[in-house]
Amino acid sequence: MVGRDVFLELDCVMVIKMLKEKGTNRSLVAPIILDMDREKSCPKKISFKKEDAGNHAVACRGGRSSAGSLDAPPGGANYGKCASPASSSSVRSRKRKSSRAVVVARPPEEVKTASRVVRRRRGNSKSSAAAVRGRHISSLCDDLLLQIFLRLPSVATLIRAACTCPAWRRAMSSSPDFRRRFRSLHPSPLLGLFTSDTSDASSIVAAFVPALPHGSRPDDDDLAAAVRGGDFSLPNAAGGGGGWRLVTNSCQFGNLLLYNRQDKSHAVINPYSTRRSEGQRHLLVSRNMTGRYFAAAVLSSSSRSRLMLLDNALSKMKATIFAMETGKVCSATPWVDIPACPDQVDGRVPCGRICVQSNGSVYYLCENWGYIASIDTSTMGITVVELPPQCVSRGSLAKVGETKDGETCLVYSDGRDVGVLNLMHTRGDDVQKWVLDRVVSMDAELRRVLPAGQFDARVCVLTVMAVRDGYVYLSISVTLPDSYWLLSLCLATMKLEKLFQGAYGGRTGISYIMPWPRSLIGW
Amino acid sequence: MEVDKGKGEAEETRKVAEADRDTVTLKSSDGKLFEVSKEAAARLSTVLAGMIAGGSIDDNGTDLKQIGSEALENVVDYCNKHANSIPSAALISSSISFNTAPFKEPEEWERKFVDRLSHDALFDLVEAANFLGMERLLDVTCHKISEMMKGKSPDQIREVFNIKNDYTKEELEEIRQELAWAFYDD
Repeated sequence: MVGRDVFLELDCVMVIKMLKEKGTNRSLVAPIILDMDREKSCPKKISFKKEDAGNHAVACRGGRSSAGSLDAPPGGANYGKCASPASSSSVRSRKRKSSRAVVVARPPEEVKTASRVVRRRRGNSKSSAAAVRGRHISSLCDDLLLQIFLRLPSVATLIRAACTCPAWRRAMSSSPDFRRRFRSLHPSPLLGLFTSDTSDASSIVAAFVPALPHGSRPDDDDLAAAVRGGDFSLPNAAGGGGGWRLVTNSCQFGNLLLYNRQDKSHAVINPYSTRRSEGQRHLLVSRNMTGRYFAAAVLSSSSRSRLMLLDNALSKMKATIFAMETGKVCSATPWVDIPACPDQVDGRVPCGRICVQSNGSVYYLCENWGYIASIDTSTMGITVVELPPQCVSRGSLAKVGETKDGETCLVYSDGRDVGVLNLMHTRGDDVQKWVLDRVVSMDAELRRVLPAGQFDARVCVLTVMAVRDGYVYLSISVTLPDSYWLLSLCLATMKLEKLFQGAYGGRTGISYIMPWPRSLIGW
Repeated sequence: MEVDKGKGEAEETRKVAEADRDTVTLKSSDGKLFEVSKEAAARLSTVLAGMIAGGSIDDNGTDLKQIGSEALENVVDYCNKHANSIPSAALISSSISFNTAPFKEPEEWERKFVDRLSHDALFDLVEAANFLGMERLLDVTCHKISEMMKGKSPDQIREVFNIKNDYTKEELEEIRQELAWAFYDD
């Protein structure tokens, strides 16, 4: 604490340097920076977290300016980027005006905030792009830019904005928070369904049925353009040979996973890249699976895709990850015990479905088998948990996905009820628990959104197709023969919205939901 | 000690006198003074509300060193107009499609208010609104700027905002490879 007052009159950066060199505890340094900063602090409403942990911009807390603040009113300078050029003088040049030095210990998070702010200011000087003298849109800070981008009507508009200058693209793609908020305002459009073209549910999924949007939405044109822009044809779509079939629930990250029964190989195609690099498909021979049943999923959206195969024997399970390009094994889990598989449940052979999340976690759901397994792709550990009784059997179908806050949730449908479970991690990180959050009857909502006369509580059954960023995509059979509606359900409000109407296969179809553009991630 | 106490009392009386006034005086970075109704200021700006509640409002003009006189004039203008406007049914009802739910559409007068602004004034106003914690004004101004990007190609957006294209050809090609469908001018 020697010479504290002197320090405060010194150049702040120098002080930090000196203290560091002396090996002084950081707790002394931080409050000093904070005091400098509090002079200019103001409540900050908006903030987007940056992807890069080292470049955090966190909401500055309320800190109303303290006494004597009239010559230095609360100001936006605490998020340096927002300050106008004249006032964005760095911490360096600011000296504490008050002669009374008050070094107070503050809660750790506040201290963190202060040091982050300093870091961010430094970072900013490098990244000011498209600099033009005078007032210009590039003088707005990233947070304000993102506020503007949030109000764009569709992903297509966002993409075009990203293409105007690298600074904008960087602002969008460095913030997962922005991605989530944009998605919560503009749910990922459902582009269509891969369905069998007859009402026979057991036939091979063959044709892509594009979404024909209902009603007039601002992003309709963009949706139509997105559907037109992709190549959704499947290798054996025209009934040709090859033996390829689409793997159920495989449209993660915009990739389609195909399986060839004849030579037991897998292929990944992306509707948005095949058109350009004609015929380029990643093939992989999956070797002989020892298990009785198995499931597969594509793990990442990058060009170096990895494929996870789940080998599922009678009472054991194992996951193996392959590199798609080489077909080589990257990593594998040991065999893990699972509940013994019954031969038949309700007259059907039990089977599971895989759900992959953007954070890399993989869930394998087997309702009529009564368990859910989660595979951690970084540690390659499998955790098997019994499913809560609500979503076991009864023909309900469940999907794992994310809420708009990025939390893992499980959504199941039972008749016309929709149930939501949240994943809880108990203290010892390995212990998982699915906790029922709510079960909501959709009757009233269905009556509200479906065309008059098409809803009949006796025949209409909801099916969960996918859960993405806080929205559930559902299909429901209606009173018209061989007809279904696709709906989206906002998990925050539990309000339904119509997407489009189709014929056949609504229940067995595989939904294709527009992925978040790869070009707008972590750039 | 004694002196300090006296000072405190004087402060108290000043605060009381201030609380009686129903306007606050704001001072821009270039020293111009503006008056705005205390009620409107407190309602529309979280920062001003905090300052009013905390008694850190100066009779001779509360210094807002971050805000130029032009922007502050617009802020005050907005506060006054807002105080006079009757919220329309659209603003009260919350049953808007989920696509836009958290952002309420600007009202007619708000549209007119931002439409007449130059780009410079608009950017200044966005920053002032953010600075003063004026959520609604931030909403309206950001909405206006986003509308200037809507339905335009990257080239057109660059033109509107006078942005230099400092992308390399390869970088642009990379985006177009993946997202060709999003470009009208393809």
